[in-house]
This record gives sequence, structure tokens and C-alpha cells, in this order.
Amino acid sequence: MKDLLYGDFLDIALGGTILGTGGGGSYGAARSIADRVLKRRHVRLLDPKDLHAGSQVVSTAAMGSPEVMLKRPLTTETKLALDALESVSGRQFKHVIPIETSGYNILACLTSCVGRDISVIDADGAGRSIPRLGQTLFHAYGIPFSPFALADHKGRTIAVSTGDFPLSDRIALNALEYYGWLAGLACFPMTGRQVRDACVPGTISLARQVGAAVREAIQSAADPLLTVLQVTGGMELIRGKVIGIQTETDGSYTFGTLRVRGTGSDSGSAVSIKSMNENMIAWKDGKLAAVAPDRICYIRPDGGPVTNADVSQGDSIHVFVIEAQQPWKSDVALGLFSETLSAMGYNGSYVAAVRRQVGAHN
Amino acid sequence: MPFKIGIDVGGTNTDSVVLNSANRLMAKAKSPTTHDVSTGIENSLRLVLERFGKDRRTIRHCMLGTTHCINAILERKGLDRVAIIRIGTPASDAIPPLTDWPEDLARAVKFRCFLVPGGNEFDGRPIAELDRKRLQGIAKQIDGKVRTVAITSVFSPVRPEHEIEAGRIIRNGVHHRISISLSHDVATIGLLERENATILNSSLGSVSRHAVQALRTATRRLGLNCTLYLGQNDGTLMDVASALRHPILTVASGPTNSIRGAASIAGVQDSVVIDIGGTSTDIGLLKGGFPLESARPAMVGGVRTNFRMPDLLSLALGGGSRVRPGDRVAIGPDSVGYRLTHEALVFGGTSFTTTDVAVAMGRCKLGDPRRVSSLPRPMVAAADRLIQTMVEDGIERILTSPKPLPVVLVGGGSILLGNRLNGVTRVIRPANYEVANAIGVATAEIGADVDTIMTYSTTPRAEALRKVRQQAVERAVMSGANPRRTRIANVEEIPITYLPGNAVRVRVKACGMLAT
Amino acid sequence: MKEWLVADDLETIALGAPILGTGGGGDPYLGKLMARAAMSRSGRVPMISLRDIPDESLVIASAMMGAPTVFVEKVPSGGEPVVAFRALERFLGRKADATYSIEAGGLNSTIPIGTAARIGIPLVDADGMGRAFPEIQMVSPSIYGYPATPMALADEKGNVLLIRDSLNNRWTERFARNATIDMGGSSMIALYPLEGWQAKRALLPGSISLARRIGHRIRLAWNEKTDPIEAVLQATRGRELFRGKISDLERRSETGFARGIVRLRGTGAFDSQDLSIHFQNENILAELDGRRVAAVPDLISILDSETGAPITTEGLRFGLRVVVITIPSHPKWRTKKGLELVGPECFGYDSDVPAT
Repeated sequence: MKDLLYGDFLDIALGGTILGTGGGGSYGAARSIADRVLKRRHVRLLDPKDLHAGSQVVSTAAMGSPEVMLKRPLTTETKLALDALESVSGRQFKHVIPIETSGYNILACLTSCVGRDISVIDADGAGRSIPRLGQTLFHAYGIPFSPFALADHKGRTIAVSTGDFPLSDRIALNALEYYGWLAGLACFPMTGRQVRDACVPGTISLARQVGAAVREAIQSAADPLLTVLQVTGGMELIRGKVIGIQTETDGSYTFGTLRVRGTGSDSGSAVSIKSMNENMIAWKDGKLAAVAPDRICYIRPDGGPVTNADVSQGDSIHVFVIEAQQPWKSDVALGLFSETLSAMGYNGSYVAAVRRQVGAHN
Repeated sequence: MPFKIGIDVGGTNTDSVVLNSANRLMAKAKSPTTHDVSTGIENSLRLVLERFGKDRRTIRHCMLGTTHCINAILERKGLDRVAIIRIGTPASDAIPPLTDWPEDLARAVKFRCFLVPGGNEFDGRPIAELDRKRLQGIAKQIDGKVRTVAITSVFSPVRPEHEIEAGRIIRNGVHHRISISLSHDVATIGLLERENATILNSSLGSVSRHAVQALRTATRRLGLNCTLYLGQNDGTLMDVASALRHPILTVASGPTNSIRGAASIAGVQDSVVIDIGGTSTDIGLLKGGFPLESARPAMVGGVRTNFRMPDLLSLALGGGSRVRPGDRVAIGPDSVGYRLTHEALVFGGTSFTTTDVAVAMGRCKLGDPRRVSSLPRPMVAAADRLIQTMVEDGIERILTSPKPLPVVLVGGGSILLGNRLNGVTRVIRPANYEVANAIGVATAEIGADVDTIMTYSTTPRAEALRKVRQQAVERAVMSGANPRRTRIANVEEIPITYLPGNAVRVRVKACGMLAT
Repeated sequence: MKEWLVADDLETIALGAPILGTGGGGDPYLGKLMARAAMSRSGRVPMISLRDIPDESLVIASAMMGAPTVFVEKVPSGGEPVVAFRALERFLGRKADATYSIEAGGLNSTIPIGTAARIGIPLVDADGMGRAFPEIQMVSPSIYGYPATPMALADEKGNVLLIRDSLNNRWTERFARNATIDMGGSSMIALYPLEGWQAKRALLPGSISLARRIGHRIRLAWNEKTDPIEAVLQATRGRELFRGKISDLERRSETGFARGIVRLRGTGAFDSQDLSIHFQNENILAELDGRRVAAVPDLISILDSETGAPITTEGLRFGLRVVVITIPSHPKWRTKKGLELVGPECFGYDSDVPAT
């Protein structure tokens, strides 16, 4: 058990956003959670290995539109969603776990521990950022999403009990409109055993380490990208300039194509990335370079974070790829992205992008 | 030049006519309707053919509006037992099939009811997966025990797939012959009403086969070699194969035939049709050649259905209605009915009837006018004014727009009315009005309806309407219409309340000339 | 006072309720059949007067919400109101002592009778509207600030949505209506849980027995061939507003509501006068020769002049001979808070409500 403090929250904001595969909420919104809600707080972090099989765990997060997430800082939404789920289901949760790896949603999950005797598990439901609730490993491995609860900072709360996941998905998405496009979510109530079987472990620590490493690299004028690659075991894809951005928004999803032209030693190369909020597939010089669930991530040359929502034409950007973690390597998990990839023109199967580098870890 | 025969079975008489291909009347006949219906049809046919006189082989088509089916339902006789399958659980079992049926009718048609998981939501998503195993089990249970099956699935007018597949499973699962009615072919949105109509449809298998057989036998016996058609509730026709599949659609062709026939003889497509009988007057409205449909649920044999029946206004006014003089003269509702020719004053009787008023006013010459010449003039005029007003009020009530229309007057009691009525452009008293029904069925076209729900946000309006139009045309062609001479007769779009995505009820009627 | 509802009461309630429906409210036919089926298993349903319920008892309203087109096609399985009820009871940690109607004008007069039969609790002779209104916040408990939540929605598949806390009843209405669409377009709801003393304060008493009385009198008039309109006026405290013929009908459909204006040309004593009625599912206001003579919250009902049968906004047609009656609303609706909820301004008109 370890205590996370303000400095850790800042590192998680940075590292989590970098690991957020181009989405997951902006760095600014993540920073604002750290500064407004968590500043003088501490949160206990539990290693999944120390989790009892019968403990009550729930995943908490925030969901909404990127614009509102940026404009309206998260306050009590996630906490109130947890309260609502407890009071309606009659269960008392001992631990929470983030739904995905992103600066914003790891910290949103932590807000639900504030003022409660609840610890957060060092793991999450995806090990990366995902656009849809149905693309978590919790869902892939058969853990029911429901009962779940939604809440906003005004205390408007609903709880839903249904075995029908598409209905849950629809209700949750449509409810956002009535919540002004930002709401806290408590979902996937599970036991410790279910968590261990379905999560990606160590992700909060990794986000913190990546953030800390980048911070130190900046301070010591080292290359932030190389530092991140060392910590994560990832592989460079390209260093260059953004020469093309195309986006199309459909409700809470933004479909994008980003084109990067290589600079320096990467001159003469080009990379094209397709995203649905998060990055899904990348081609380099006309060949398939990486495909979800492998993580296609961004970092600025100066170590700053960048997402698809705030990248601009002409920006300098480094793109790197980290192979998907072990829990993803099953047919059912890999299948979670087939519909999305197919809509992007890719009907092939998963091809691992990188081999693990010696000495690095996920 | 081919000819055609129209036959209509009425409450009192069975009328028949022979028309040429330009719809000119060549011969007509009336013969009393018999209890078994078939004999009366044959008698009427024989009579009209004798009057026709020409070579019977020149008669190409024979159209029949009959009461075999409605009589069977009303009398609860000759109905087949039906295996009733409803697809829609976990929804719908609060109100099982046959709820709210008259007990004796339910007993007559019920074999067994089965509730099966499946069916669809309003936007087409399934409520549950269709339980194929259960259906296979049902097939085994009914095989050889029942000859007809009615299958109704929730929201099938929007998504018929579960019904179609269920029909396939049942058919493949039985060894004996079986006939299957699918509700989306029979009626529209409204689960209970559509299911009721489908069950009734299934129960009419034997009756309709018998009716068609009787007609075939009669026509053959009389030396006719023609294609047979049956009149539908909405005034169109279906070929025999379709009529055997969907006999319930023929139960109410009578009133429609009479309205259409009257207007057809008069040569008008938009008019009010008034049929004055001995006891009552029926007023109907014809628009574009089709009768105005009632918005209320149509009760068939005491069972609630959602067929669009002709909207008929009935007045308690007929040629035999009693007149009561007094401070305010009153008419009816009682009537001497068919005893008119004995009981009316002009015929030497003692009952003061509306016919007597008409004669006294000089509107017609019947019986002995001297027998009414001493009636006080003001009272007779007042009674006559009341008769005109009752009818004028009725005309006003049935009109759907302020524009006045011509009125076609038929029936023995039409002598009661003058030739000037408020709210009408002119009064037409067509020749041969006494066989208007038979003319109506003979001049009808093949018709088919599609009534479904489309969501314009999913399927854009233009494409949705195109799809439904095409479906209607296909149905019409399947009922015997010439695909090259089939047109869209009517399109109706009704927005649905409390549903998103621009959900709209779309109704399309297609009509076509006979294919042969 | 306690009495027993029997099957025949369903017939008279279903006949009289649409008069209170002011052109909307839905067709009680299916609700009647569902209640009848439930009663045939459970027997008669006890009905108690509002003033007889104990102060500490818990009463919960039971209703149907959603599109009538879906309701008549995807007929319920019957257990949904109970599922919604149980979800609410579980959350509150106590069982309901009785149920009540949220809207006596129409379909929702019959739904709680079926619920009462299934669960085995009494029905309270009262309702939240005294007529029909289109939205959930338009009920008398709202006047006193009583929340519609916690509110449960259930469908035939066992899915339950509980709205635990809401800012206000308007938000609950919008959210619940949207969620109902997600659940297939029609849901059974349990809402406005009230303690006995709150119910006595807020609900409108006698609504179910009123609907029954109206239906009974109409049926009697039909059988005895006396004037059914007179029968309706005697059973309510209504008066005849106009008599005439529908001369024009303008209909639009906006965001799923049937809106429009029907115009009538007067006959008899109203000869050469014109009445217009504006409707939005229910009849909202009436203008005689351009002057407003009746408006929400008062009831405006259009009846067939011969049969006395109420005509819904869907059933309006050119040429129909009708009588328009108006019945004063319950005085609670005439208060400032009441008018804020259901006055003409809520429907887009200026606030003038003519005296009854």
C-alpha cells in the first residue's frame, strides 16, 4: 500500500495523458482535477496482488464531451456516482479502479476516494484509453457493467440495473445530454478475483513513472522521448511535423486522420494515424505500422503532452508505439476493436508492432 | 370484346350484373339471398345469364362480394380451429390471445395458444431472440391436430422477419398440410386488433374454400369459363388465391361495393352516396373512387379489429318510417319495413309513412294519391321539410371539407328526397341503382395496402416512401394486378407522438387493373 | 371509507376517464384489460378514500409513460409495474401501503388498479391531476415541492432504472422521457412516493370514483335513451361551453406532440358564433369569437353531440357535431404555484385564465 500525494497526481496527469493514446481527456482538464480536488489530499494505492478475492471493487470515471471536460472542471461528479451506486445497490465498496489509462480518468477515479476509507487499485480496465465503454477488458471478460450509476455535481443521480449492455450504453450516452455533457460514472461492480482476472496491472504506477521521467528529462535537458521509451519498452515511430488534420464529429466521438511528415533522421518518411477519439491504427510509408490494442502515443519534442483534441497543423510531434499488454492477447479482447478498425478500412487481424526491449517493462 | 359478371350478396337479395369492358350494363338480375348463400348466388347468376343471352364464353371475369365469411363468424358456424402463436415474450403476456372475445366465438376458433420469445421494438431491434426450438416443439405438438395457424409477432408490420421465419419453421416441422396466416399480411399496428384479425382469418379457411368452390361449381355448371375475384373490405378485388389466403379481408365488401357502385353508375369519383331503404338510410362518402374510412376500431363478430371499414352514417329514416304529426312533427325510428306495400296510407293501409308524405307532396306517384289528398297541407310540408333536413344534416356530417359535392341517391326510399338539397352541387339518381352493389364489385380494381412505421432519421423520407410504395405495388401484383397497370392510389403519413427520430406511420394503397 | 372495485367498475371507469382526459390521456382499453386479468386472479381491489389513509403510511403512484403507439403494439407483460414498485420499495427500505393514479384522465386511471391487484394493496381514490396533462411535473404534489424521485422505470425484460435524486421535477420528466425511449418507447413507472400526510395534503381526492360516476351515468343515459351530455354535466360540475360543428382542423406535429387548432361553427343557441380550441395532445384553451372563455388548468372536453362519447385530438374530424364542455379544475391548480406548473404560459400562451 502506498500513498499518492500531490506531486504524484501531477506526474500521473502528465504521464497518463502521454499514455492516453491521443485521447482520454486533455492534460489541462487532468491538471485541474489535481489542483482543485486532490491538492491537499492523499490516496492509498493498492497493488492488485494484495487484493483479497472477495473484496468489493467498483470502477469509477468521468464521461462527457471533450469541450465540456475542458471548460467545466470535475468536482464531485465521480464521488456522487459512487455514493449513488452504493445507496441503490446496498453494496459498500472497499476499492475503486480506473476504467482506462489517461491522466484525466485516473485522477477522476481518485476523486471518488476523497474523504472515504477507500483505496485505489494500481491497475485499470484497459491499460490505455478507449472510446467506448464496451471496449474495456472488464466487458470483454464478461463482467457485467450494471448496476451502474451516473451523477453530476448538482446531485442529480440515476442508477440502472439491466443485463442488457447495449441498453446501458445507450442510457449512459443519452443521459449525458441531460447532465450538460459531463457526468460521474460508477460501474462494473466486481469482486477482487474478477478484477485480478480482467485488469491490466500496474498502470497507475506506470503513468506516474512516465510523468516523473519526463519531468526529470526536461529538468536535465535529456530527450524526453527516449526516456519514455526506456520506461515503457516502446518503439519510436516517427519524429516530425503535423502536416494534415481531418476531423469529423458524431455526437461524443471525433473521427480523425492525422498526417505527420518526418524531420531530421526521419525525413522522407510519413505516418498517417486514424483515430476515434483515441488512436486506433497507424501506417508508415504506406505499410501498417501499428494497430489497436497496441498503443499509438504522442509526445511533444519538449516533453509536453498532446492529444488529438489539441493538436494543430504545423506542430512538431513525436509518435511512438507500445505493444499491448498480455491481458489484451486473447481473441475476445482483440475483437473489441474489429468494428472500429473495419470502419477505418482495416479488416485484418491484430499484428504486434514491437518486440519487448530488454530491461524495460510494461 | 370480353364481358364481366359482378355478383353481390346482400341481406335480402343477391344481385348480379353483366358489364362490357367499358363498364356498360348489359344485363341485371336480383334473386333472394338463400341461407346457404351459394344457392342464391347460382340462382342470380342463372337469371342474369339468361337475360344476357350472348355467348357465355365471352365472359372473361367474375367478381363476387359475398357474405359467406361474415355469416360464419356471426353464426359461429363452419369455423376452423386455429393454433394461435404469439411471438413477443417477455413482452405482451399481460393480455394473452383471445382476451375480450365473445366466449362462444373464442371456443369455436381456439385450438391452443402459444407464447414464444421474440418480436421487435418500434425501431426494429429484437425484443428477444426468436425461440426457434420452441417453435419446432410447437410444430410437433400441432402436427396432424390442427389445419391452420395464426402467427402474430410484436411490431411485425415494421419488421416481419420473425413472423416469416416462424412460419417457415412450422411448415418445415409438420408432416400434414397446414395453412399459415402471418399477421403482417393481414392488418396493421395494434397488437390485439391485428392478432384478432389474423385468428379470424385463419378460422375462415374452410368457409372461404367452400365459397370459392361454390362459385366455381356454379360458374362451370352455367357454362362459364372465367377468372374469379373476390371483393375486399376497401372496395378493391383480390384474386382467388389471395382471397383463400386472406379471407378476413373480404368480410365487409358489401357496404363498400354499394357506395362505389352507385358512384360508378353516376360517373363521379368524389361524391356523397345515400342509400335509402325501407327502415334506414346509409350515407357514405367517396373520395377518389374509394369510400371514406372510419377511424374507429371495426368490430367483427364482437371482436375488436383495426380494419378500415367504410365510414357509414346511418339514419333512422326509410321509406317505411312512421310519421307522427303533432306540435312538432316526428319521424321514426320505427318503420313498417317490408310491409310498406300493405300498410302505407297510399296502399290502403292505416300507417302514416314517409312514402305517404312523398306522394302527398307530389314527389312521386305510388299507390292511390287520393288517399293522402286530405292530409293537412302545413303538416305534410313540415314532415317533408324534416325528411330533407335529416338527410341534409347527415350529408353535412359526413363531409370532410367545406367543398360541396354531388350526391348519388340510390335505394327504394330515394323517392322521399327532392332534387335540391342543401350543401350539394347536384342530385344524381342513376339508372340501375338497385344493382349498384353488383356493379360496384364488377368495376373494382385489384388493390393492396401497406401500413407500417418508418423512422425518417434512419431512412430518409424519400427513400422510405419509395420502399413502402414498392411494397404496396408488390402486394397488389401478388393479388392479381397487372404490374404494368398498377398505380399508387393513396399515400398517408401520420407523425407518431412521443417517439424520436421522426417516426411516422406510412400507409400506401396500390391499385391495378386485372392481370388477365 | 373502503369499498371494493369489481370488474364492472373497470368498464365505467374506462368509459368516464377519457372525459377527464380533455382530448388526451390515452385509450384506457388495454389498461382495463390488464387490470381485469389481474383482478381475475386476485379478486376485488380495495379502494380507500384519501382522508382514510394513515399519516405514516407510504403511497406510491403507478403509471405508464411513453408512446401510445408502442404501448398498443408491445403490450406489457404485466409484471412491470410491480418491478418498478419493488425497486422503489427496496431503495426506500419499506413497502408501499397503497398505490394511486398520477393521472385520472385516460389510460393512467386503469393502470394503478392492475398494480393494486397484482401487489395486493389498496388503491387510493385520488390522483395527481384531476385530468390529463402531458408531463410528469404537472401534478399536484409538485405544488408542494414534493419530488417525483426516487422514481423507478421498468420494462418487460426486467431492466430497471432508478432516478435517485433530481434537481427538480421538470428535469426528472425530461430525463425519464428520454430514458423511456432508450427502453423501447414505453415503460411502467413508480414515482412520487408520499407519506400519508403528504398525500392528504397534495393529492386531488375522489378522482377514480368521479371517473366511474361519469361512466356509469353515460351508460345509463345510453340505455334509457336520455341525454348523455346532460348526464356528464350532472356527474361533473361542468357546463356546456359551446355546441356546433367542426368547420376547420389544423394539425402539426412537433417534437412528438400533436399540436393544432380546431374551429367550430355554432348551432342552435350558438348559431353564427365561432369557437376555436387550441390543443397540444390535450385541449389547452378555447376562444369564443376571439375572446378566451376557458383555459388550462380548467378542463375542456369535446363530446360527440349524440352519444356523449369524448373525442380525442386524434379523433377530431371536419363535420363532426360536438358539444364542448368545461369543468373547473381543482382549486389547487388555480394557486400561483399551480399556475406556474400548468397554466397557459406553460404551453406557450399568455397567462389569462378565465373565471369558471
